[in-house]
Amino acid sequence: MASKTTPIIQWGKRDKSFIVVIAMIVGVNTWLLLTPFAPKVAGQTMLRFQLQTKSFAAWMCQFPIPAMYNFANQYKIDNYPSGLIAPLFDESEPRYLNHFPARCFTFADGRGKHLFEGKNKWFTIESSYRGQTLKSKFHLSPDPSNETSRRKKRYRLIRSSVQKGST
Amino acid sequence: MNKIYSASDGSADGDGPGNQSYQSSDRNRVLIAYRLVQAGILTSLLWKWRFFFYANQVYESIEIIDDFFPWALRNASVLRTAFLGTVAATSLNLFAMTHLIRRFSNLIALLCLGILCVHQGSYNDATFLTTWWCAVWAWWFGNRIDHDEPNELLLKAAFLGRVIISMILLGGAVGKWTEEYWSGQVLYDIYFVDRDYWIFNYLRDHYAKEDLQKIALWYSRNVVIVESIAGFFYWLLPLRLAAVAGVTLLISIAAFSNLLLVSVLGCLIALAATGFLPRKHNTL
Repeated sequence: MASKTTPIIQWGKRDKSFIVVIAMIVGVNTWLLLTPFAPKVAGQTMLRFQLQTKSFAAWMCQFPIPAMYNFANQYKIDNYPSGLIAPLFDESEPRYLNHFPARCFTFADGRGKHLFEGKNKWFTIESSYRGQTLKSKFHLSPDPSNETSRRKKRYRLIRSSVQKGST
Repeated sequence: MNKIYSASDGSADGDGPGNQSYQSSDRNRVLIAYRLVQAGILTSLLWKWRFFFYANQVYESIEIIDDFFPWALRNASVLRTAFLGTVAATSLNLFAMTHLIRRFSNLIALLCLGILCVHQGSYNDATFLTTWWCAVWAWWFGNRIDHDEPNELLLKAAFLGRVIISMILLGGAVGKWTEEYWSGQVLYDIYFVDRDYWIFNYLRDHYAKEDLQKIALWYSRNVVIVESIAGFFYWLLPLRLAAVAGVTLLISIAAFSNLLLVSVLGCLIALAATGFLPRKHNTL
């Protein structure tokens, strides 16, 4: 081990930018390794995934942290608000998706598939990790300007609720 | 301590180690490593070009007004400009012969990829995260080309590449250390139920639902275990073994999951392949 670490230390002494990049990676790895053991860290990642972080700046600072196929994320899409006339019109089954579950309406594939009609949609997304859960409801409400524009659909995103829990 | 090695004209200012032919060969390898990673980034960016073309149309025609994102980071034109800016900067970097051009291209690529990582329309696409980390590597490497002894730079670069790949695999592993992945239910729903890809189509054609769930369980556990081991130990592997293992592992992840993952893994495969380039007098 000593023979391996020696050149790395030598490189660091001669190249400060090398140290900067290594320090960034050490910072990210520290956060990653805290995730399973510190519920607050996992909770922050859930908020990040569901676009519920308190500020955009705090959310943005987490972007270098890799999160591919992280946590058990589910989404459900309805044409009616839940609780109003559900379960009679409870249309869709929850499905899993890989990461950042809010992608089901922000990313191009989900946006193009579910929002092309310009009608109201309700999205429920839930993330769970080692007994901790976060459930958010979003209402995608058509903007009044849609009536005057056929080419462009506008939606307003309304965060209906956010609920922390445990399993 | 910093000697000036000119990668562009092949001359060396100072006493480089080894004979003249070694120096010349090493300087060529430095440029190959740099361009290999740029080519990897470009492959990642362009692999899903059809999807990005479709995405551009969707974002132009369906807008989501969400005050969480600043206006510019919801705007389709900003997204398009950032993507095309990265492609242009990376293409320029492929042929860059001067430090100034490399520096300019790397800064543009880092800035544009940073925008893509936090834009409403692209934040979730891991393509931009892996390419951003490769762009960090390229920024560092580009700044060192004219300063470091070539073979030492290649050894450093291969080590840094291994550390970056380990971190990204660890990121994937840690998020899967939960019951829903260990039981296979997440990957069963994402891949085995209806994903149109050769391996899952084959399994659906030949196995009943109960068998598929068992296969999904072991498929998922295999992913969790391999990613965890690689995340913790890949960076410690010897140079050539790490290059072979990295390229093989990353290709196999795409081949047995879905080919769209080449956009996420293409740049990392190039980064792993830089381990083939240093001379082996030092095995780190």
